[in-house]
Amino acid sequence: MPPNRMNASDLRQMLAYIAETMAREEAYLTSLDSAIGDGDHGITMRLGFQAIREKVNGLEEGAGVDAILREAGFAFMGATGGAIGVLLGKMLMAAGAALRGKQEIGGAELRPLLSSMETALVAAGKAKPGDKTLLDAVHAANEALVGEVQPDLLSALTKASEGACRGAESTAQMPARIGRSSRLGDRALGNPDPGATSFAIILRAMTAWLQKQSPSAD
Amino acid sequence: MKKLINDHDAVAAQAIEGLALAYPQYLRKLDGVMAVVRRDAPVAGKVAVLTGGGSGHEPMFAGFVGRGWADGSVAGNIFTSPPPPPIYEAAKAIHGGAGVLFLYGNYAGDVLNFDMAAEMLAQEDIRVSTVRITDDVASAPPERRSERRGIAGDFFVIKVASARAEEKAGLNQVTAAAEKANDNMRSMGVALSSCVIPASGRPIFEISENDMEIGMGLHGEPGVQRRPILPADEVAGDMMKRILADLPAKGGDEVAILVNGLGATPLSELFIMFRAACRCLSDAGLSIVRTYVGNFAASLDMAGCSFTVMCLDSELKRLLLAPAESPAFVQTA
Repeated sequence: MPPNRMNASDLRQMLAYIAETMAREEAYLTSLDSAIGDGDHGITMRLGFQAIREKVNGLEEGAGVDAILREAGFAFMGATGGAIGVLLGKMLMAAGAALRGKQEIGGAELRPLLSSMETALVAAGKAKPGDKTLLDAVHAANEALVGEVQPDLLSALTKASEGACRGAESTAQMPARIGRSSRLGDRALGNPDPGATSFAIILRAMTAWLQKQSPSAD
Repeated sequence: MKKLINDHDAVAAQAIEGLALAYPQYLRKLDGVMAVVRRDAPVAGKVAVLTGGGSGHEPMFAGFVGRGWADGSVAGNIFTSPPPPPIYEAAKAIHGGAGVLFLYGNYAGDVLNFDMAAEMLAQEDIRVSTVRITDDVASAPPERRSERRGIAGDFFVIKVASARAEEKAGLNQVTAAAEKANDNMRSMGVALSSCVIPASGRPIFEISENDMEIGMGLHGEPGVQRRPILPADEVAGDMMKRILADLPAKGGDEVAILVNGLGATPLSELFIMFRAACRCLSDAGLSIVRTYVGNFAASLDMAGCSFTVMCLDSELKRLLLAPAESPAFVQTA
């Protein structure tokens, strides 16, 4: 059984694991973005998570999970640019704020964490579900957790991750209505949104990382 | 694809470093960020004009920094808007006490990042005003003109606003001049080939050897029509027809025209295109006051070009023709 809670040290390792995953997925994300955007999304995600890993490595020993996520948000936003830089950066900062004062992330923390990310995204990006954006994956991840009472971390993360994947896949059937790919309209049909796909990859990587961990001492 | 680069992640940074090394008479690079500022920045009491956007459009944007041009320019990675911290740093470095005008093409990423930097500057009581450039008629219908993207028209808006700032006008007046330039110009492009982003090493879209795309954007955004290539006169006629249908011009008006190469089209072809555009403008009863032909806002190594036509009143004409100097463009009185 993987551990049911993540502390600050786990969170650092998990962010590093997401960074490795993003580097592996670069070519795939870039190919998605080439179909409906300008082909740089995979590069941006790799550089952004590389910056997160470096920033988090340099944080002092005692940094809590809230500070780590906030700093990760600043690092991502400062290193990338593009719409995704501000959007995902603000989402990570919001996630940090949602965990203020917490020492660990468990199943009960996942819902407020993901929902704060959705709120931050909607406020900054002005998209609605169905607009073929990052929001479709984030929204679906939150929807997947509705009605979950005191779930354990792995099952909650798995559900959220499956939701995000479904959300990302559903964007393939949507015409683009916002952002640069909106110029494509119906020509974007058949291609999933790269930002939504990235978010699904992040949640999937988090789940995979947690599954790999040996049971915690308690 | 063969490229003269060292490290594909460092293309944007090394390009702007090289630009600054080449043109110390006009500008200098800020330490630690991908931004250049006028050599004599900050200019006390003058509104500071800050432009910028993704790299890959060279000489846009950093090539238009100098006296009579922008005070500073911030570069992002290839085709990616710069993040807020360097925008903030550059604005601080050029602020001469009279406020800062942000000028950039209307893309979601640029809007989010420049707005975020404006929020950071507001906390330090630095006044920021913003004009988003929306000259590309192919990107949205006239009733949604504010949603259009900015392409080579950046050149005219930066020139006009910077000249107004040079006259020591206040932030509201400089902003109004930028808005007037943006409202009075229209652009349309044509792409003959794709372009290759250094980090991926692959073309960003496919287009067959025989086709062209009318209205394609500066990052390969789809245009209004893809079809087999035609002779230059017909291509120019089609582009000009679409511009003139949208331009707030009437017979007898004076205009300026920019024929902009996208990076891989030789000047000879741009002059052939201008020759045709010239005839279209004259048929429409418009007289050309000034013509600019060259690579001003490229799309890496894309083949193709765009036309930008701006209607001139006496103010726009005065500002456009005012002397200015920068790496990419020097104009004497």
